[in-house]
Amino acid sequence: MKKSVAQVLGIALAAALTVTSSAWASPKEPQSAGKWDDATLDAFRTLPIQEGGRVKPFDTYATFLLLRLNGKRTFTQDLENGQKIKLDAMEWLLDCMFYPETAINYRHFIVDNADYITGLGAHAPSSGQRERFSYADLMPAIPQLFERARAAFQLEQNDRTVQQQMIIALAQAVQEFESVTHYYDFARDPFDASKSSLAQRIFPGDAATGLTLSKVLVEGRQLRLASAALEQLKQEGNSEENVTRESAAFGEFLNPLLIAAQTGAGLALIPPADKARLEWFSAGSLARETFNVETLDAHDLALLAALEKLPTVVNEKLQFKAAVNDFHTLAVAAAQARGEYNKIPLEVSFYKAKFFSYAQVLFILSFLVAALSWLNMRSRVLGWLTATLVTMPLALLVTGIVYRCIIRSRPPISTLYETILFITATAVLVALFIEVVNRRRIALSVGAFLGTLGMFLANRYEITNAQDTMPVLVAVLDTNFWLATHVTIINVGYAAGMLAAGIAHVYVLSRVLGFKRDDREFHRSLTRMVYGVTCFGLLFAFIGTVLGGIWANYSWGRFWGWDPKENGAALICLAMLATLHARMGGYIRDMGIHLAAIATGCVVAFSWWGVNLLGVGLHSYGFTNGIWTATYIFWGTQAFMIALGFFVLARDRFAPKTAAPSKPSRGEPAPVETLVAK
Amino acid sequence: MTILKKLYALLSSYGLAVVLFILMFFLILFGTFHQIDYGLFSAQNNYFSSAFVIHKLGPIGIPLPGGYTLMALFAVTIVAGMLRIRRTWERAGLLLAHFGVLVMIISSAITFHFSDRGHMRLYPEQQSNEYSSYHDWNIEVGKPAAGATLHLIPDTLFKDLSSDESREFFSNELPFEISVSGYAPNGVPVRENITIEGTNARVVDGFRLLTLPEEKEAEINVPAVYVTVTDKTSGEKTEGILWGMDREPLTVKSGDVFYTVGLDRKRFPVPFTVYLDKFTADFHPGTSMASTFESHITKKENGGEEKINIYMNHPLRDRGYTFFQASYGPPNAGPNDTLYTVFEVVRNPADQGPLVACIIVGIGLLLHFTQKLLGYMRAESRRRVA
Repeated sequence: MKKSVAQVLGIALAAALTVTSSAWASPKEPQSAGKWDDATLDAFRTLPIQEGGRVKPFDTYATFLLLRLNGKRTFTQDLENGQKIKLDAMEWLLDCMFYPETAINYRHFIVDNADYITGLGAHAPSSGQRERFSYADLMPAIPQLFERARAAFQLEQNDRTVQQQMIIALAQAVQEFESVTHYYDFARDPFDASKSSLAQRIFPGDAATGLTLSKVLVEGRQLRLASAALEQLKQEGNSEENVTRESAAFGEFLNPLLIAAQTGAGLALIPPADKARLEWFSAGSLARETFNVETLDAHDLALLAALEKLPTVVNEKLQFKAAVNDFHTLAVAAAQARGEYNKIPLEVSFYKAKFFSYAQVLFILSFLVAALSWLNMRSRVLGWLTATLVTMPLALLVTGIVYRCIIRSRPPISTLYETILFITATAVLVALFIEVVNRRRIALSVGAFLGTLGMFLANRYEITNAQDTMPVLVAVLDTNFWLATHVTIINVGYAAGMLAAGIAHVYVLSRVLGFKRDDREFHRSLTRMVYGVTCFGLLFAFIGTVLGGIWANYSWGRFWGWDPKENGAALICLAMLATLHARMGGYIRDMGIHLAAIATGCVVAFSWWGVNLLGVGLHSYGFTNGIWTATYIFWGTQAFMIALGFFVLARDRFAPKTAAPSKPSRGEPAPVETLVAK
Repeated sequence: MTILKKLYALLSSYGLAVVLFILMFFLILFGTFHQIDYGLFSAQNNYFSSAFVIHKLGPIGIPLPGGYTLMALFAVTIVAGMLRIRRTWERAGLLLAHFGVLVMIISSAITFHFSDRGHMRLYPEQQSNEYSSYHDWNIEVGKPAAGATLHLIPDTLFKDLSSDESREFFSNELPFEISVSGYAPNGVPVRENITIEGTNARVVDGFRLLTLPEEKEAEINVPAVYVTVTDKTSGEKTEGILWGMDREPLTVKSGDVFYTVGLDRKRFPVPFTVYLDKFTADFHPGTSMASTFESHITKKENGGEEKINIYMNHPLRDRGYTFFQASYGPPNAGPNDTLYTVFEVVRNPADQGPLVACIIVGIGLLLHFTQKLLGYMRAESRRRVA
């Protein structure tokens, strides 16, 4: 992995230096953004592309590419007249592919340390630290940028500084941008047979005019025999000098093919007619393939012909629309013939529906209404409104999860991103269940808050990670049975741990602020909820953990390998067990249970996020800068809450005792509900 | 109250259970952090399987009971608690859950004491009826003509030696004694003119032993050791350096008989032969991520043959032995290179213990918490009616 990316960086640098200036020196009038009609955009959105080991909509590819570069799902460009124009990912990508001379001025490279980049020679767009650069801004700095990125790449991931990580990310973003902007270089530079007699032999007469890559590749066999043809020239009495000149002329003729092989390698948009071939073709890989097989498949070449026509007619609106339609029809038919298209429209509609964005908005709204309802607890309208507003985003969230399950043909969780969605949905669902049982609006409000927090986290993770959230899985995860059992169950345990911690916050804050000071039943109901949710969490965390061990025993031959993720799950079980046994033994009372629940929430965060970042073990994903910071901030806030709890305990201890709750006897189980004063 | 009753009361108390949970919590937490710098094998030996450990937190040493001690105490506490708890229907779930945990602890103990684990590496058309340990090594003494090992000196008998200590080994069946010294858990013989830090002063046949830092992944370590073979009759000495990666063992002559002395991984026999017909690795298209890798083997035994495919999540199980598709190699192999397969081979008499325990605990907890939930719902319903 390390070598291959470094090599790719090297190739990209070489490509950038050799091709950039010449390929875009086209006299075409630069086009401004946002001039794609809806039908064209829809056709491109539903176009299948193979990337990252799976077939996905072109729209998904565009969205995550833009996220990686720009840190946002849309791109806003300042126009010279002072206006702004906003492009969605597909419009932006089409601009990059078809109008690279325009796109190089798009300020879409988000950089956290702008000074460092300007120090390498880049033009500063303005004076801020977090700035967006255009490719044109970066161009003077690109050689140094790649050199430093290569050096940083040689280091172990955990040894890289934040700056080095930024450099690598920016170099990769530049490389990806170059990959799409140069994709059509092969179609922009036509083949010129006029200077090579050998080329004219292969493409006699009219065939030599308007030669495109697909037409040249039809004669792949002749191209391969070119060296023999040169030898024949010698035998026909041509001088050594003439043969050398012809050899050079023929090499020049083939140059666009070499460019295609190099720069056209990025987008695998051509589903091979040969179903045994798993890897789709890009223009470049098809060009390379001509040297490996006797003849290329006519269907593949027809697709290439349709693909290469697009940039040549891009300024002719009607012709372009027809050409896009032709290519779309051919590509979809080819993908369908391979059985690889049926989930594409569903995925497009999934992203178009924006389930999670709407869910986030509604959760925020529900939390605000819940807060309002606390001001008037007797208002049934506000109560029902809150319940409805929590149920609606939950329904959206669950619908989105179901969509993803259908698209992936997988259970709800197989990636870290999906754990956020699932845990959020489960926590809100359990909160709703508690609300149905006790109708106190506490669980409802906590559910609204956790829903808001969870969706915010999911959104931030998607943006920060900026990678396809439906990736292919490593071999050991290719088992729906264990994903559906172990992974799902243990995440229910995580959700319960976070919900219990959430409710415990309400208790601690209400005690600190003196909220419902005289309503002892209110506080005890909170304790009962936390106790119950902890029991629920233990059931799932324990069963999930043991099932993980059984899966490991089944796959690797050991039940327990002390992997950090396994240890994290065990820590959650131990924290919950210690809480429940301490409660049963009477060692902790109301506040003790709540503080233990908050501490358990910290343990859940460690197991959920922290252990992945330790850099050891089978579950070490080594991803996403900033996660440690966020985790530390979370732990810091929780430590503060625990300190507040101790403050309340100390305050109660030294305050005049009026009605302290009776202490349960030690050594005898004392379930919380039996302690409630009726 | 007699001392025994006090002890019983202590062992069956919630207080001890809570203390054990907390100790176990910190043991696992510290052991996990220990892995970052020292690797899993070290964490297992020093924390999770040990009787006692002192965790270094900066300059402060925190003493903790090791995993073995804690698991034993848990077992005792659970038994005492189950004897003490009132055996009513309300507590049936709790009893069942605790019994399940006890089953799990017992099966863990059986696994710890009686299981073997190792690996078998095969190229296509190779076969084997034994697997090699990941961490344990033996000095093997044999006769080349006989083709079999005569005597073994397990590394547990000499790995405690410091670089300037030696230990003698002898057998009445062998005409010589072997002195072992300068053991390096991860080492390599280097030419005598190399004297960087870590090289031993002793030179044998122009080589000296360089001790390398131990790897975090302990299975990568290759040990090396000096041996001096002294003929019992003639007193003649033969010196050598044994290294785990040596292709050829040290040859010793006693009288007219040749013997070999070598250092090799501990090997375990299996009651059948595994022949690798073919190994295939498929990748997600356009990526270097394996989607599946699969070994097509023939299991040979007593003249009979059986064709079996082993792949991820589909191991071969036979008479207590389990073959898992663990990995493949060589690393950085090209598209046309022949790949070898690596099986993880495990013999574990308590293989299914955790599954049984999980089912028992699951039923127990489900029963108990359902009772609690129904009680809570009834109480809330009464409250709302009131």
